[in-house]
Amino acid sequence: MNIKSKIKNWKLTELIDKIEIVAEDSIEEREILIDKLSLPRPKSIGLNRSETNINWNAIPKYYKFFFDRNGYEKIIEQWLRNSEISQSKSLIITYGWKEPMIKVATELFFEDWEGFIRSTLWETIIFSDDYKLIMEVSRDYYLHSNFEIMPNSKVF
Amino acid sequence: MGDDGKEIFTLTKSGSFKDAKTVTSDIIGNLGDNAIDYVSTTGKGKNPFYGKTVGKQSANGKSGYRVDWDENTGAHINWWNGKQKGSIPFSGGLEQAKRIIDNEVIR
Repeated sequence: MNIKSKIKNWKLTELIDKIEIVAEDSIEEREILIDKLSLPRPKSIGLNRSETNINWNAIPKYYKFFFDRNGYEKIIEQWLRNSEISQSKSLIITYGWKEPMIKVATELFFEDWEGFIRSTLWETIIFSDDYKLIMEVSRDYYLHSNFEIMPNSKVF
Repeated sequence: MGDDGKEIFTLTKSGSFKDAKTVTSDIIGNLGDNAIDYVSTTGKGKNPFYGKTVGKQSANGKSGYRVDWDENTGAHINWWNGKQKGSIPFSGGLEQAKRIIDNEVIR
């Protein structure tokens, strides 16, 4: 059975002809990628909304900002467009349990970045097509990244 | 969350999980016969709740809820319904949230 025919996620079905399936199981593939890219993992994990799958404090270039602000949708879109990630033609996005990891044109992500993040249920890691630029969304609506999106958002 | 955030914060009179769940159901409505479990995916190998059911969601993911915890709100139900989302705290703290998940009260 074609993997795309099994997809039920509202955003992925909306863009079914515009996405590429990178892996059938997002979570399995995410774990493989974290190891392959030698990304540091956090020590303490429990039920906290601020938790991430990457230990961002151990990443030398670490930026973060709270994105869930009224009236900031277009501003954040512009920040994304102005950032390094705009050099990547496509993005790889992880989804939830038993959902696929997908590749989508960066422009489509920019046009509805909030919808994409909502469709991941505010839990995702997003990679540039060369896997060098990384963003992670935590359930407390923070966007963590190894490149600047919001101006002056570097964590020291 | 942030002061100017979009999350709707609701308090119940009793502060119980049962009432938080009832209010959640009133807000998000029926998730459908084909509703699926929301499974915790953070922290494989380090999170005792990894792979466990912590909530429920509609098949297309447009609406649902999960049990969550943070330092400011404590234990709460985190719900979403289309573009709206919110949190409803319940008493008992992190331990109560753990009990609810361990005892599969959600399922």
